[in-house]
Amino acid sequence: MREPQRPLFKQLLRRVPMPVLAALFGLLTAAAVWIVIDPIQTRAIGNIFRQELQAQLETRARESLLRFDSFVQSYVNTVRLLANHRRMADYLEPLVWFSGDDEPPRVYRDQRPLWAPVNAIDDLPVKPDYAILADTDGRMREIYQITRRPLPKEARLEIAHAIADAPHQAYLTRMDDQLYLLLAEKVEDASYYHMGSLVLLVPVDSRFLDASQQRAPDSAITVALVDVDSQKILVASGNDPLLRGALLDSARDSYVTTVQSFFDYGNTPLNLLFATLMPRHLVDATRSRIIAVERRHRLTGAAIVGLIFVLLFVLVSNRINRLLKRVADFSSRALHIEQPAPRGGNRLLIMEDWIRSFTQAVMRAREEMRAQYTAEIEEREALKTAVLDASLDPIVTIDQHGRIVDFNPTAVQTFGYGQEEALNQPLDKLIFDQGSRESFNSLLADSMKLDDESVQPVLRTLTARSKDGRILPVEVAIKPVWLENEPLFTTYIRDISERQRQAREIVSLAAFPSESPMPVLRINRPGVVIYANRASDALLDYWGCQRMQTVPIFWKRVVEEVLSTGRSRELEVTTSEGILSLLLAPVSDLDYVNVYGRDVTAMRRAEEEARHRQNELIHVSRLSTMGEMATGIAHELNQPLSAIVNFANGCVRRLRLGIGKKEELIAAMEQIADQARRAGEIIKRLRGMVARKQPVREEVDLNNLVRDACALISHDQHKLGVAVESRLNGQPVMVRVDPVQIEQVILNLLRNALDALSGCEPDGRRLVVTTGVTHDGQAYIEVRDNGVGIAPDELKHLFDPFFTTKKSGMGMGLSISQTIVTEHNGKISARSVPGRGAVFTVELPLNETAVESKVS
Amino acid sequence: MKQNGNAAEPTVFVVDDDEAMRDSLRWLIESVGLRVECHDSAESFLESYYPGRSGCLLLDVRMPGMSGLELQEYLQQHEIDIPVIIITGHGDVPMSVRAMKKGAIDFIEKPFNDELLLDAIRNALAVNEKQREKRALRAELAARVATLTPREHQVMEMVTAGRSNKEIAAELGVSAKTVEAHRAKVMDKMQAGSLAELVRMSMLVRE
Repeated sequence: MREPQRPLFKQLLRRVPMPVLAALFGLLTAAAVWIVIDPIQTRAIGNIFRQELQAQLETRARESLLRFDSFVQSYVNTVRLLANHRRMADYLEPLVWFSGDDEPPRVYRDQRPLWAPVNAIDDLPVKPDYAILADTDGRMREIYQITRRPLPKEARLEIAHAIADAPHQAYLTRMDDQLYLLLAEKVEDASYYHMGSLVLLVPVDSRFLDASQQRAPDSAITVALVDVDSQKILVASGNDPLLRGALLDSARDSYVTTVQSFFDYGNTPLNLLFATLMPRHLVDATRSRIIAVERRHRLTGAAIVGLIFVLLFVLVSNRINRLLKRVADFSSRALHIEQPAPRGGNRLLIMEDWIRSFTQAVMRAREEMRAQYTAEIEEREALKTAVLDASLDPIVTIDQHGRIVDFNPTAVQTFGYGQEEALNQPLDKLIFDQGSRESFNSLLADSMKLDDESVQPVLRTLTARSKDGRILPVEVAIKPVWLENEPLFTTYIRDISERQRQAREIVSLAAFPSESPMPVLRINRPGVVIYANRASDALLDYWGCQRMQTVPIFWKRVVEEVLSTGRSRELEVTTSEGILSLLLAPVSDLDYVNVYGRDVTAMRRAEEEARHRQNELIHVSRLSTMGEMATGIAHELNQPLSAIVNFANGCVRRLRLGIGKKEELIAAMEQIADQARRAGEIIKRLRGMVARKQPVREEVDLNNLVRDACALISHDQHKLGVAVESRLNGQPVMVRVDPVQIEQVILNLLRNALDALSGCEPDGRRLVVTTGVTHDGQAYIEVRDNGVGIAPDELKHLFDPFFTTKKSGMGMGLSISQTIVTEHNGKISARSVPGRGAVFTVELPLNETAVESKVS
Repeated sequence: MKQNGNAAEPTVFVVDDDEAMRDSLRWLIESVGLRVECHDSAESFLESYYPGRSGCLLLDVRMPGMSGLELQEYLQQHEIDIPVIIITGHGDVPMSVRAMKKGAIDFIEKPFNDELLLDAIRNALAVNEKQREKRALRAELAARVATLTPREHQVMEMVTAGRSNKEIAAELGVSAKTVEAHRAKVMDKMQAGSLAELVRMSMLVRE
C-alpha cells in the first residue's frame, strides 16, 4: 500500500520515539509553570515578611520600653535608699535650716558629703550630675556636684516645683536644652518628721539610653526619645550623629520606626515619644536573603516533582510503546499483515496507521469467512442427518402440530413403524397410550416456552407402545428448533426398560444389609452414621446416637484411623444385648467405613468359662501339690514350734526355781518371738499357695519368687540332703505375672528335680536354679538337676496331661505349668541326657506394660 | 564345741542342724542344771567326742550330711556306748522305730513335752552311769583276773562252771586238797566273798 504524503511536522513526530516526546513535553510544561508562578510567589513571600517584621518590631519596641522603664526604676530605688539612709538621718538631725535665710547652698566638689554613703552613687551605671539636699520649702541647701557639667539655671525653680508638687518624684524634664531625669525623695526622721528632700539630677543622653538597653546586645536597634510637638529626636542611643536633632520623618527613610507614647511619665512637663528604630538596609538584606532561600527550595522541589513526572511519563510511554510493539509484532505474525512503518519511532502514530490497514484486512477476511461458513453449514447439515440416522436412541422430529417430519432408523426399529407409515402422522397418537399422550402434549407445550438459548431440553419419563403392542418405558426429551420462524421439535425418545431393570436389581441388592440379622452400618469420615440396618439398634443404643448422627469421639477416631491407614480393624463392644465384634472395613475411595457386627457373646462366655475352669484346675493342682508337700511343711512348721515350746518351758522352770538372770530370760523370750515369727512366715507362704485368688498381674522380681519357692521345699531338700544352689541374677528380674501361679510353676520344677535326685547317689546330688535375662530380652528361670534324667520318648509327652513317670502323682504338674506359662505369654521347655540329669527352662516376657493378656 | 569339765561330769550332747532347736534345747536342759554341749552336725560331734565321756546324746534323725541314723550306726560299730535319744519330727515314726531297733534308748517327738524329755535324759544319764560303773567293774575284775596263775584261772573257770572240787581234782589230776587251796587263792585274789559272787564276776569278765 502506498503511504500518503504527510505534512513535514507530522513526519518528524513519527520519527521521534514516544519516551523522548514525553520527556520533552514534561520539561516544557514545568518551565512554563515556573515562569508564571515565580513572581507571584516572591511577592507573597515579601508581604508575609513585612507583616512578620512589623510584628517583630512592635514586640522589640515594647521590650525596649520595658527595659527603659525598669532602668529608670533602679534610679528611683537608689534615691529612696539614699534618702532613708542612716547617714542622712544622722546628718540632718542636728542641722537646722531657717526658712527665711538667704544662705547660699553649700557645694561639694571633688569631695563626698557626709550624707552620701560610699558606693551608692558611684555604682550607678550613669552617674547623676548632681545630688542636691533641699529643705522643706524646696530650697537647695547642699549641692554635691558629681560630674563637671554645670548646674542648669532652671534647676532651682524646677526642684522647688518638684518638691512642692509631691513628696516623691521621678520624671523627665528639659533644662538648658538637655534632658534630665529628676528624682526627688523626702527625708524623714524616725518619727516621720519631715527634715528635707534629696534630689538627683541624671542626664538623659545617649549614654543613658545605651545603658538602659544594655542587656540587648544587638546594636542594630536604636531607641530614641522624640518630642511630640516638634517631631524632633531629642536623644538617641548609639552613636549615629545624624539622628540627634533630626526629624522623625527624615529618620524613616533609613530606619524602620516604631513609636510608643510615655504614659507612665505622666507628670513630665514634656510630651515625649519613645521610638524604636531599625536600620532599613538590614531589613532589606534579610528580606532578600529569605526570598532567595525560599526560591531555591521551591526550585528544588519543583525540579524533583517535575523529574518524577517526566520519569513516570517516560516509563509509562515506554511501556505502552513496548506493548504496542508487541501487539504489532503479534498481529503481523498472526494476521500476516506487513508492518507499515519502520521499527523505531512513535508507536502510537504508527499504530494508528497500522490499525487502518488492519481494518481493511479484516474486511477482506470477513468476506472469505462468510464463504467458508456457508460451505460449513452445508457440511454440518449432512453430518447431522448422519448422526440422527446413527443414533442409538429413536429421534423423531415433529412440526408445531405434532406431525412427524423425520423418523430415524432407530425409531423405525424400536417402534416397528416404517418411515412411510410414520411420516405426517401425529406422534402422540402413534406411539403413546392414553395416559402418556397428555403428558407428552404438556411437555411439548412446555418446550415451546423455552427460548433458543436453553441448554437443557425438558425430560420426562413416559410409557410408549410399539406397533406390535409392546409397552416400553421411555424417557422423552424435546428440543425446539427454530427454522425461519417455523418451529420444529426434535424429540429424543430413550428406551429405558433395561435401565429400570438394572435399577430394580440394585435396589434388591441394597436390601441385603437391611435383611441381615447382624448389625451392618456405614459411617463416613466425620463419624456420621449414614446407614444402619435394623439389627444395629442395640449398637446405636450403646453408642447413644441415632442414624445420621455422629458416633462417640473414640469411635470417630477409630473411623479416621481405619480410613487413613486403609486397614480394617476389629473391636469388641458389650451392648445391652450381648458382646458384639465389630469389623471396620474402610472404603477409602468413597471415604467411609463399613461396619459389620458379629454376636460373639456365646463365644466369649465359653472362653470365660474355659478360663474359669483352667484357673480352677490350676488351683486344684496347687492344692494337690501342697497336699503332697504337707508332711514336709508340717515338719518345717514343727521346728519353730518345738523351739518355742523349749524356750518357754526353760523360762517357766527357771522362773519357778527362781534361777536364771533377767537378760537370759529376755533373750530366751526374744527367741520365742523370733521362732513364732518364723512359723508365721511359713504359714503365710502356705496360705498364699493354697488361697484361691482371681488371677492377677503384678510386677514382681523373679528372684523373689524363686526364693519363696525354695523356702517351701526346704524340708524336702533337707530330707534328701540336697542344698539348692541359687544362682540368681544380680539385678532384679522384673516380670509382670501372677506371682502365685509362677511360684507354683517353679515349685513344680523344683519338686520334680528333687524327685529325680532321690533316685541317685546321695553324695553327688546337685540342684541348680538360675535366673536371668536371655540375649533376646526374655526373663528366664532354669532348673537343672543331675538326677536320673528323662528318656527321649518320655521327653515328647512331658507336658501332656496325666503323663507321669512317678508312682504317686497325677501327672498334672508340668501340664499345668505349661498352661500357666503360656497364659503369661511365655514358654517352658525341657532337655535331658538320660542318666545325667535334666534342665527345665521357663521364659517369660520382661516387664512391659504393653503385655496385656485376655484375662484382664 | 569346747569340751571343758572332766569326763565324769555327765553332759547332754545335742546334735541338730537347726540352730533354734539347739539353742532352745540347751536353754531347757540347762534349766535343770545339766551340762549341755551342742553340735550342728554328726561330723562336728564325732570330732569332739571321745569315748569315756559320760552323758547322753540327743540326736535329730534328719540332717544334711551324716544323718542321725548313720551316726548311731557308726557309734555302734565303734563300740561307743553312749545312750542315744532320738528327736523326731511329726510323721517320722517309721524312722524312729528303726532307730529304736538299732538300740536307741528313747525317742521324743517334736514339739517336746519338757517333762518327758527331761525324764528321758535323766533316764539315759542313769543308764550311762550304770554302763560306766559296769565298765569300771569289769576293768577291775579283769585286772584281778590278770593276777591269777594259769592254774588258778583254770580252777576259777571250772568252779564258776559249777563243777565240784572233786570233779576238778579228777580232771586236773591233782588232789582235792590242792584244788581247795587254789580255790581259796582265787577267792582271795578276786576278792569274792562267796561262790555266787565269784560266778557273777566271771560272767561280767566274760561278757
